[in-house]
Amino acid sequence: MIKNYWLLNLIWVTANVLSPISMAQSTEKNIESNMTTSAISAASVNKIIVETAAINVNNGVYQVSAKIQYPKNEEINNTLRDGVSLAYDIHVEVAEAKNYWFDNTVISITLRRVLSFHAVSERYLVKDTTTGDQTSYSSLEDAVVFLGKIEAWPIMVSAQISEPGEYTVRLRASQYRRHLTGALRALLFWTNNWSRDSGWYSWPLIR
Amino acid sequence: MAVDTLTRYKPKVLATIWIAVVVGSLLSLSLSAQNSNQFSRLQLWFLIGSSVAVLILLVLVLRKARQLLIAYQNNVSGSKLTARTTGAFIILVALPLLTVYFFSLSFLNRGIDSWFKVEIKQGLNDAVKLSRSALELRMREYGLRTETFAQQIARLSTAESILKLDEELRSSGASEIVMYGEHQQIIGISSVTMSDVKSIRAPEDLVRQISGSNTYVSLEPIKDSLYLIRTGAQIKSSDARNNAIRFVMVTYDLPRQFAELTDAVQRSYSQYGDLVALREPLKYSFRFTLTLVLLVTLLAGIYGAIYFAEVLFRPVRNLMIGTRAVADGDLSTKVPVTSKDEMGFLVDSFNDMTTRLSQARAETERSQKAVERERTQLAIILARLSTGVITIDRNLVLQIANEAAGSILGVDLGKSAGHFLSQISGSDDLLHQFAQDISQRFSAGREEWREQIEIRGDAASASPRILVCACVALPQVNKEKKHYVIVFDDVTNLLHAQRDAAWGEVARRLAHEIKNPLTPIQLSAERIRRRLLPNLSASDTDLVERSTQTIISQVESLKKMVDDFTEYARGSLIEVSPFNLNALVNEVLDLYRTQETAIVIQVILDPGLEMLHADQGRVRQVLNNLFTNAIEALETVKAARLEVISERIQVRKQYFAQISVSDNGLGFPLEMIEHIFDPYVTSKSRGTGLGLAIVKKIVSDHGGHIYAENLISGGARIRVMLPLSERLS
Repeated sequence: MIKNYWLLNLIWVTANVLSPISMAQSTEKNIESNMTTSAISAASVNKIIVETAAINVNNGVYQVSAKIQYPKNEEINNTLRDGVSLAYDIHVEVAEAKNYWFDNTVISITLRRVLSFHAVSERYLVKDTTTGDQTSYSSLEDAVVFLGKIEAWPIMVSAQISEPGEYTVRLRASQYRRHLTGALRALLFWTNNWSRDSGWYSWPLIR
Repeated sequence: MAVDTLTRYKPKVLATIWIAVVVGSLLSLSLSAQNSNQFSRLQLWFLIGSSVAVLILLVLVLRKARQLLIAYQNNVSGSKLTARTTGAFIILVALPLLTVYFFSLSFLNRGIDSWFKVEIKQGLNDAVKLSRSALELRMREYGLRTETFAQQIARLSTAESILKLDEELRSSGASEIVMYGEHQQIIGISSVTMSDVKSIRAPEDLVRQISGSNTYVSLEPIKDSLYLIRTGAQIKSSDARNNAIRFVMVTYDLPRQFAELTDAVQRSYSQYGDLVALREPLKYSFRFTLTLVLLVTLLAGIYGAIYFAEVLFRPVRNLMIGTRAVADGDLSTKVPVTSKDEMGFLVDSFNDMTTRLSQARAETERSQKAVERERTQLAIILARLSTGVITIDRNLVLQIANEAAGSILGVDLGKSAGHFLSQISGSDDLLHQFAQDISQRFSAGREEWREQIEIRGDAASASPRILVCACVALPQVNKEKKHYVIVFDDVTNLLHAQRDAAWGEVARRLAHEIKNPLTPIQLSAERIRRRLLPNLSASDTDLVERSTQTIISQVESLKKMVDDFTEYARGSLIEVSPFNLNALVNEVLDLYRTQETAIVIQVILDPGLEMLHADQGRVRQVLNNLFTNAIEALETVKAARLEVISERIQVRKQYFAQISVSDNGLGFPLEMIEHIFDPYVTSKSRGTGLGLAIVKKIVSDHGGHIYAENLISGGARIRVMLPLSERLS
């Protein structure tokens, strides 16, 4: 629950001015909300890292774009090839800050995609569980790159937020074994290597 | 009211809620286990709920066990019974539960392992390989055809190549042929259906592979049961001016039959893969769930065992506490009735018993009080009685005695209950003689009698006490020793009074009958003498003179005797006034000191003797008579000695002024000593025998006592005791 954003806003404005991405995206008429870059270390190959995340308004629709680095290694590859499906969730929340009460969650939405290996065609399938859209890749790396690239994902319309409020956007990416129930994941939290979480990546919503 | 009701029903409400929760959890688990989706949704909540239940139960069980242990160590009533029963209950609950638990664990492990046989995995892999082989043949054909087609159009111009696309599309059965130029620009396209250009952009992996001069062939799943075989080949032109490559991409639809079969194989493969991945978590989950169920059931069983053992034995514990209280004498104890079963009946019976015991004790106490009251009243009556009453057994052991009995027998019997009569010490031997007389009658087999007993006491000279006794055997109760009640009265004084009264009457009549003719006799004798003496001869004169003189002197003597009779017969009217007895003794003795006698008079007077309230004239007469008698007794005695002693003595609770008059004369004749105070009893030749009788009468009129005795050293002594500190009425 972030309530005092003046310092964060100052950092963001500085970063926004200096950021080439920000400048490039400013060619669009849409309002650029935020864009930050996080340092990626080589040691974080088994971690989920949100490299960049931004929110745009396009014709009154707020769209999230992000670049997420998911782990890709031989173990994952073997697991997929053994027939196990992995789910990749991207959860976005927009909350209105309240001074004397809990923050008011405006929107809480999840993009769930499932990565699996098609044994007959020997291709990696990425399926959006909401739309049913499916794409296939010949390599795990291509599939993971696809999973980590979010472009213009509509999450809400501008009518859902009021003008004078202070809002925070936060994003979290997670990976887990698809057919493991919540209870099993809770029970196996100390042994299950497949449950990973990027942690919340948050930034103020600038309109 | 509401709070009381809540407190009263709290255990039942809690037990009901608890049973509902446990049964609900187990039912939920059972239902969820039958439905995997439901299980997935509810499992977390079930696990959380069960874990919380286990923790709460564990705390409750530990708390109960601690209470039970402390009660056991402190030997609280019923705790041992509760502990034993609890242990038995726990064993009965735990053994089947643990058996089922370990059996279920083993069954689960074996059951889950049996799902993942090697043969199944191998079969699936073979199915995948088979499918792949079947498709690869077709794919290889398509790839070769695309490669051939690329070589054909490589020799043609761009326009001719475009024209060839439709021809190839028709002849090959492809669904779409796209020819890409430099920078992956679409040069020509031929399709069964008109497609969007953007949608047929060449995949990156295709471009990468063709760039390496290889033919690209791949099977791409598009949707459910919809597959594409995508092929690509580089158009190798000999006059290529730069490194930019051109290629052709041909797409074939996989026949539906192949697609469905491929889908089925893939679905089985994926499901098995997911299942294998769930193998350990499933086992772990089932073990955990089963353990939770076991813990919930076991702990609930243990808690229930302790609770129900406590509930079961609470009435027993209450009964033990109640019994202990009753044993300690608290009959007001009531054990609460907690149930209406046999235990409730037992508690009811106990309460009924204590109520009856309490009533019986109250009745006994009332009876005791009544007996005590009657005994007190009897004691008061006995104490007020002038008649002596004692209760003894056959062995003459004293049970009860009233104050008058002690007074009559000259001993304090107040604290002598339980002692033999012969062993009770008294001031004289009256009691022992009394006991001997009674013993003689008992020995003769006489248990009930009414007789007059004469007892004398220690001193041989003391006058005997005459008791009128009646002995009655008391009713015998429960074979106890036979007891006898002896009622006796001291009639000595009564008899003496009767005798004195008789003698007084005799004296009065004698005085009346004798005194009246004496004066005429005396007057007649004097007139004879006066008339005849002048006219008679000398010889007759002497005769008349002596005769009349004899008559006159004898009449005088008779008059004196009559006066003594009159004195003796006079009533007991006395005039009481305080006076100093010692002074009176000296005053009377002075009369005798003036006489010329050889008698040595020794006087020892107690200076502490207080004033005596009595009739001074009568007491003077007593002293005169005593001193006269003593001096007369000493007339023929050489070295005669008269001793007079006054002193203050206490007999029982009464103080007396005692005057002892002793002489060293011949003493009283032994045959007379018993009757020395009776009228007309005298050892003197010229005495009337009324002196000591009058003395005794005066002393008795003052409430005193008089004793006559012979001294061992010789002589006699008379003791007069006049009461002090008490005004005579």
